[in-house]
Amino acid sequence: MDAEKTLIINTADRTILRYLYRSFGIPLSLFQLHNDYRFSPGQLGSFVAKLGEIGIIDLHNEYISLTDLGKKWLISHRNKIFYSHVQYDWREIPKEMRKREIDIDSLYLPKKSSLGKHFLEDV
Amino acid sequence: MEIQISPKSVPKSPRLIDQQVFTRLRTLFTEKNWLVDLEENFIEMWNLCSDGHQQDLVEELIRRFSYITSRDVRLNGEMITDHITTQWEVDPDRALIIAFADSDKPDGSQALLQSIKDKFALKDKWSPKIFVNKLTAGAYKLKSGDTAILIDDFVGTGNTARNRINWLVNTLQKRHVTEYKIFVVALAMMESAKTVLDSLPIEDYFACLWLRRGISDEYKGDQLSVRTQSMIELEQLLGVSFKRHNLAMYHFGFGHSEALFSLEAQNTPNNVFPIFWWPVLNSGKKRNTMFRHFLG
Repeated sequence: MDAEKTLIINTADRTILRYLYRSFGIPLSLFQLHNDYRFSPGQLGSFVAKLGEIGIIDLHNEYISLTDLGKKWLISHRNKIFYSHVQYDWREIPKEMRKREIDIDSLYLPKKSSLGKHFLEDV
Repeated sequence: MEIQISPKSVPKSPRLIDQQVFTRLRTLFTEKNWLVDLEENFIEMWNLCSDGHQQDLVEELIRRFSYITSRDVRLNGEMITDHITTQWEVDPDRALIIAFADSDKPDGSQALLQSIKDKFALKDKWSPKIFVNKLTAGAYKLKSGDTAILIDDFVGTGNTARNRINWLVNTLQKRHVTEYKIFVVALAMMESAKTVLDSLPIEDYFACLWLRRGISDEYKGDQLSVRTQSMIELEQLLGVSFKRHNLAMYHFGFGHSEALFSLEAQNTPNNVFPIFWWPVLNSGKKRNTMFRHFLG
């Protein structure tokens, strides 16, 4: 593997790698992955190109499998690949939509006006 | 190898694809990695195809398409710089590298000029003063004994190059500049432009990429007729006009160039088959095209 290169793993790649690890030794059909999980030809085409090039996966007759090297690589990089916190744009709450956070250990006093009429009855 | 986790991914398929088509497209995406970022646009174009011949044509054109990424621009910039400094042995004190642009509008030639500028930083004797971003300015900077190296990102029919070089020669004549040399360099040129360039009063020309016409230079006999017919049928699906432009002007690309070339994140030349960039369908609906050419 070229040490200077950066391998970009996206969320689709991560999911496909997980399926490959679970079914280690049993090749997965690329069309089946499309059929079952709606991975697009582009997602699967790009996955095969970048991970096949460095020997992580094998492609044979439209079936892919994790190689022995691939399994070792996946285990040694599992933290980075599967447990990295991914900063999704859509998860970020815009600043103008956030309210002031209450201090730790401070009492929370709700606004009476925003409580329902029967709030206390339901408690 | 460093691993980077990206939150971005190509969107999943909105619908299931037939197995045979899926395999065909998947293979294409594996071989042409640049296509992955344009997947939705490509699929939209693919879906315009109503028969196998049209699909075959689109697939073959994509396989032959020269899509130049920013990394390729850097590598080709180094090739251009080496050619100017070593092959042409231009005197650095008597040379001007001039963009082909002839107006105040931004132009691909200026972008290429800017991208090769830093390559000259490593060459002794070359000064930043030699770069001129407009032909109309360069024509008045050239003196007798100077060498003009005209630079463009793409030469299609060669007609624009001919008109501008003729204008340059006339201007130099009017200024009584008699002894000069002109060289032309481009990132990509159509092979069909060679005839035009050979007839011009220039010393030499160089291109990093030589492009053949997408259909006429690639097929013969029956296959040529079938592929030509398929492209005509695909073009019939496009709107006949957009703004004040008629599609007929761009039939098989401007000047019938049949070009298959685009630079990443830049205005695609109008010499490219319009199926790749014409913005509307004949129903009036806007297209999500693979490439963009700005029609004013």
